[in-house]
Amino acid sequence: MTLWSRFRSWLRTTLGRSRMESEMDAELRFHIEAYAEDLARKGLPRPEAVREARLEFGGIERAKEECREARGATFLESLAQDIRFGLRTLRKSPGFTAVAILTLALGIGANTAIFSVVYGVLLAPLPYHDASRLVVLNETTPRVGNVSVSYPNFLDWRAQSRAFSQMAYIAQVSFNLAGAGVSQPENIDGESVSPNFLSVMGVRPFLGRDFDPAEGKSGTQRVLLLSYQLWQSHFGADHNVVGRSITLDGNDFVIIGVLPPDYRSLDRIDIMLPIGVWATNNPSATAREDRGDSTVVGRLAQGAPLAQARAEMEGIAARLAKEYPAANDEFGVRLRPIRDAFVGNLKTEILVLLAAVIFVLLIASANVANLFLVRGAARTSLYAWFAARSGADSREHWTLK
Amino acid sequence: MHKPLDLLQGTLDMLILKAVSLGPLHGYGVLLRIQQISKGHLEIQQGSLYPALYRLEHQGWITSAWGESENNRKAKYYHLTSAGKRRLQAETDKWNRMAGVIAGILHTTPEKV
Repeated sequence: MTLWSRFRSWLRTTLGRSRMESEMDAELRFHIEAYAEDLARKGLPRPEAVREARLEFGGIERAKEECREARGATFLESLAQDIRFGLRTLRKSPGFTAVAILTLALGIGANTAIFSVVYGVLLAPLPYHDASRLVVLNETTPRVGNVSVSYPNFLDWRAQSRAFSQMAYIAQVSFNLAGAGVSQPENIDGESVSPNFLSVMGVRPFLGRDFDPAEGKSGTQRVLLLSYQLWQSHFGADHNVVGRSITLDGNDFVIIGVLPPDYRSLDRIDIMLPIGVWATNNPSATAREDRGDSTVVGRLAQGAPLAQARAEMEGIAARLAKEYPAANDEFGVRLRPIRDAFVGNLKTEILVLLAAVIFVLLIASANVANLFLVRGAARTSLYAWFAARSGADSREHWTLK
Repeated sequence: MHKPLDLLQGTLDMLILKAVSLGPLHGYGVLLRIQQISKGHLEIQQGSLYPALYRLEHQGWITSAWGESENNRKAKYYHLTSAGKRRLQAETDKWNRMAGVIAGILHTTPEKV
């Protein structure tokens, strides 16, 4: 027998079950009618001939069942039978079914919820180009721990570091958004960044242009990028928004573009400005001891490991501490991969939580298995009776109710 | 006339293949042809004919197609496939060898032992 013909026959049986059934009917009917006609030709009255033909054919239903078996339909059919039986059993004992489903649902639900968090925080790729080479830097002091970075220190870091190919400064800012087109004044948060910030991150504006280097110097024109969300909620996703102005803290800012939809900062932001705007008339831009609310991100140079960058940066920080003792005495520097900066200190907790809910699912499964076991044990004698009565190879004893 | 013989176990498949090898037949035609060739000496259970046909088709030795019967009715006709032809040859050889061996045994007389 060829495997191919067996497969074809099985496929036809599976796909065209109802057609096969009606064909089988037609074939057997043809047989009986043809035989009855032959009998009638031999002189038997018509009704009697049909009856005789039926009688001689034997059990039609049995023949059909044997035909179905012969063409390999029985595996799927008995599977369907088992499923139907399973559903019937579950319907018959709603209490048992509810407990089993609820137990499993709890376990699976908890797992899904926690896994979504784990995926979002630990596994989902960050929306930056080659994010594994991005490092977040901040200053440290023995008294406070982690602190922001002073802008003059950042300028020295950037000038002296070789392990980083690029470095950018990010200062948190917030404004009062009011004026034309805004029904109610509201507070919006943003970041003032070095003009190269987006290229450090490997992000391109969704609309409009990136900052240009001149916008890193104080006294530059007031320009900004909108977050995709603010663009959607306040500007109706208008593609002609570039070039329009909005009023922040009473000053007009020209919109030069929109950030991509998947852009993500360490904090939620609505707008992004060039650092030159932040530095304009801002004493923090020149006072070394001034540490506002800021951080630094750097892209490791090709072939420079994090450890090398860390050693280099610690050297630079020590030199700056000696050079400017008033502002930098005892200040050090901390480097973290950007993924760690996003996760914060929660990594261990999240993994412990994940392990915990996995155990909850295991326990739930074990509980359901126990329920079935108990129910099965209560039926052992019944099974034994059925097996003895109907023969162990019969399907019958599997389908008692 | 002798009472018709019941079929030997396992010979129905071979007889169907032989009947179909002489030309395409519908199920009832297979029955008639076997009775005709055997001159009424063989009794075939009509109910067991169709499972055998379906089994042979499932195994790829015959195929079926719907056509018109002698009296213009739709009927399912069976044809021998080339695999079926080889199968029939093999079965025939086996049967002849077996029949020869059995006959040899049954014809044995005390002198020959």
